Amino acid sequence: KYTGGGDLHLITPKMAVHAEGRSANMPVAVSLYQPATGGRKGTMVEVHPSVAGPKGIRTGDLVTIKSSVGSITAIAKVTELTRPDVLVLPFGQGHWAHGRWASRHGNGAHVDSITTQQSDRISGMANYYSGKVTIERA
Amino acid sequence: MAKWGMVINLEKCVGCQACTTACSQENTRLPGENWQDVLFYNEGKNLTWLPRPCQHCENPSCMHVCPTKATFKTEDGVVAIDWNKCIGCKYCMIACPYGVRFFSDTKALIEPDLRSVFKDETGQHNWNPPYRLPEGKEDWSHGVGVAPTGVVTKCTFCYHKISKAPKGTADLSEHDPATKEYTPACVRTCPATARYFGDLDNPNSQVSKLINDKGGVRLLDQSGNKPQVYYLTGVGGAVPSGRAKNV
Repeated sequence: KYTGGGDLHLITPKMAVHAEGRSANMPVAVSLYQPATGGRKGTMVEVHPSVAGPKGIRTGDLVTIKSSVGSITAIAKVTELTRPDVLVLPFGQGHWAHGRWASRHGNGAHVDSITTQQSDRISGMANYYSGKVTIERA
Repeated sequence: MAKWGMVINLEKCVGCQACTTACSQENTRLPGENWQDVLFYNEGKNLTWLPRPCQHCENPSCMHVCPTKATFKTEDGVVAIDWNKCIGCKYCMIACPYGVRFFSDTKALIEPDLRSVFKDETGQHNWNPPYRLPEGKEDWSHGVGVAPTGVVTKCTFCYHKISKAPKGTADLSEHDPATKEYTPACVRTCPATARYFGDLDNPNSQVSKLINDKGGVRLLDQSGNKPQVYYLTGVGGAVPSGRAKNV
């Protein structure tokens, strides 16, 4: 049922400004991606203090998020806004092509590198939130 | 003359940043030069946000410190920058309590820098955007249009639009076909209709009624700047409510 082999659920929501994929190469849109990027050189992953504390992770630290299919690096944002067993990392970041502003240096984490491929039994659509991952300080 | 003011209803604002985006397109802003900005705050278990345009104060700190009188207050209550007179000393940027001013030669937020990608070969403007207000609508005496290098820029309340409204208009609203072309971009775009724009000197305008009936508050009132942008607060907004606790 849960894939990825980790201990924390990874959810990959859409940010409000991310209206469609084109915005990744629009400099003004890139600067406005709140609250996870907003022009910073990287994407912020929300992690609960009860998880971050024991691992020595503070806001601003680089963290590695691993699943059975890969690992990515993101910036940690330690916040009580998320459930203790969940990591929140918006999708749509981490382009390596698509244009000069999308592929800028240090631009973010590509969540689909660690999203396992599993289809829903009934609709056949991809399951994006079924993965469980681990997080460590990079 | 009108005294233009704005009311932002924080109970309706969802933090979508459509206003920031509309302003950036209407005024061809570079990334990071958010004349209208939505500020996000993480406070323990709360994520709150606050749309913050230039407050167009009645008693603006920026105007008092400007050495060349480039920053001035128009007759209709808008604080404007005359790019023909601005020397880029940035004293106004330090003086403003709300941090709404931007310098046109700052280091680029997003690389590659749009100013080198879309270079203005004539050197008149700091960049040559592929879309912009026609030359005839640029108004350097009020800080409207693409800025030259080395000046300070800020929200103009879309002066190029509101200055065309007929005299005596009480409200500029996107819902009124007669005034929607004069409505500032941020007000016009808001999907939740959380922003209102109108004449504060007219007691019958919607902005005046909202401020009176719903207790509009101003930011940093202790600074004495007397902003002309009022916020309607309530449960859950970024600004603590000025009204009774249970409202």
